[in-house]
Amino acid sequence: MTILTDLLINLTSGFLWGTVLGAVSVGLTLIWGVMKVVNLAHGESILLGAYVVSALYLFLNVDPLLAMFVALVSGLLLGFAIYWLGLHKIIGHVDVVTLRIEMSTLLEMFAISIILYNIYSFLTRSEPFGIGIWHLTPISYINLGYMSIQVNHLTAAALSLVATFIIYQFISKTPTGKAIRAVMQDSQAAALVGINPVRIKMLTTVISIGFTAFSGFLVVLYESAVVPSISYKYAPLAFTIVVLGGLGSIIGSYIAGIIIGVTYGVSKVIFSVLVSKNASDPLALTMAFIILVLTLLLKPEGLFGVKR
Amino acid sequence: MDEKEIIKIHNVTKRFGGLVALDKVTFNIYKGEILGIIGPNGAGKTTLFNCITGVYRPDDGKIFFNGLDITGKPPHRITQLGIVKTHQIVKPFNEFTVLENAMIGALFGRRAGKISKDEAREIALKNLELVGLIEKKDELASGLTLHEKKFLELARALSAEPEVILLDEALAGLNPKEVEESLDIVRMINKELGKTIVMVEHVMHAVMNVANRIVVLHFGKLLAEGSPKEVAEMPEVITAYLGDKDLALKFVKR
Ligand SMILES: Nc1ncnc2c1ncn2[C@@H]1O[C@H](COP(=O)(O)OP(=O)(O)OP(=O)(O)O)[C@@H](O)[C@H]1O
Ligand SMILES: [Mg+2]
Repeated sequence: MTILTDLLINLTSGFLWGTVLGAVSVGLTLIWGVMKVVNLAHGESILLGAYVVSALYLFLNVDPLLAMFVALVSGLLLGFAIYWLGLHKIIGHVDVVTLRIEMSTLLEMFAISIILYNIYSFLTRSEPFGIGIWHLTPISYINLGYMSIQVNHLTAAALSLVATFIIYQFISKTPTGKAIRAVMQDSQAAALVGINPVRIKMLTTVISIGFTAFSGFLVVLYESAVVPSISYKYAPLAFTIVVLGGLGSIIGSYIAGIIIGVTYGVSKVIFSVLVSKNASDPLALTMAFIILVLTLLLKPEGLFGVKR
Repeated sequence: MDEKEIIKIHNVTKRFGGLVALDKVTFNIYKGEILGIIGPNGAGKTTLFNCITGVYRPDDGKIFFNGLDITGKPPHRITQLGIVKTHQIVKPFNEFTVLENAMIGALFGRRAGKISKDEAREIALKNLELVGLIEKKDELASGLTLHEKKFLELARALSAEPEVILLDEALAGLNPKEVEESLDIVRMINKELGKTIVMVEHVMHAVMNVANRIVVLHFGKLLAEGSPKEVAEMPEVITAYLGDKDLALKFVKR
């Protein structure tokens, strides 16, 4: 296999993975941008959706395309619970966001992440759990000539685009979406034009976590199966993507996800030539975090963010 | 102006730690008037506005709007009831266009939930026309000058279709020509749209000229209340604030 085909293959798969990464980051950018809550339970929110779809498929034989809506609903419920149990008493009363509040919500989310992580580990005994070889079409691979692509990867990419487009339309076009963006810019000014910031923050948490759980379905579609520790791969990548895309920007997150996916694919080829095949994967992942550092140094507001 | 009170402020006290920002303040705001609130820096003017709009909850006392007790209600409820304010430090939504800023006022104001997007747009356009920002409707608010941002806040406030508008130093930082323009708009909103206006102002000749009545705050206390001319002649006001009687009367004459 020549380096050129190798490059083409990794470019394609990096791109497809990047669309999944993009969708995975959308919920994080919303909750962070609007509420200034750093969601340390992001990885576990992704896993919730992945596990819900897989359990329904394995135990009740529910079609994953149907189960993905249940994943969404499970995320909405988790978001509702997180808001009322964890965030409301901290956020609801204080409007001006200070570092002290960010610190308390950060710890809350950290606690929630540990609780969920342990529940998942207990229930699955940390064994891989997923939809396995389920795929949408009769064939599971499509031959492109230079490579064959898993149908599930294409499905994940297509669904990520549709879902991101829908949430983008909601945020940018509807009055509620406008209210969310107003609260993101200035919570107190929003209250003084008649927007109930508490309601909007609750709604944002619910929508963000719901979308994140839905994106967990895309992850399991892409990965076939998940283990709890996969959250340690996806969550840090999502944080990087949110910073690169610009805090609060949905389009920014999606595009940054693709950038990170492609960077991963390309650098994997480069490192397997320069270093070794074995070392290429961790080194390629490291590139994502080098991009994080470079973004913070050169363009801290991100690609689509607004200078404040 | 009829003599019906629209807002009653009764014995309102607000403390910040040991500092008493408002000390048992009592006065009425009458329907259809332009009321000027003056007082030196730190007198409690902005704090009073924040208590009326629900940003702060008074430690003591009550505020009534059209007979309804609104003390401690959250800001968005008070906006929807019909009291809006513009900020001393302008706060337009910088990432929205001028039109979106005005529309958001209409969407979540008095008719929140009962107004269509098209109606909201119409109201927003009308108010942008009124403040002279119609040509900039598709520009981002962040690109406006200070003067334009103040007008945008006014258009956004008007779009909520309020009964009472509180203006916190709407004229500060404007040049004399801009002050005159703003005063014309304030008079117009009062006369033609029938809105009650309360303005906190340091630009003395401007308030004295445009207001029907003046309230003077001093160290959180209500020092005086009356017509501009009466207030300018009160000895306690002159010593506390205006300094020089001749100068004070000159303000009223201009
Ligand atoms: N959030 C706050 N926390 C603590 N003290 C405050 C707060 N807001 C206002 N104060 C204090 O209350 C007093 C009244 O302030 P306020 O802003 O109401 O004055 P003002 O009359 O609007 O003054 P200016 O003309 O400078 O705008 C000041 O001493 C101020 O420092
Ligand atoms: Mg003030």
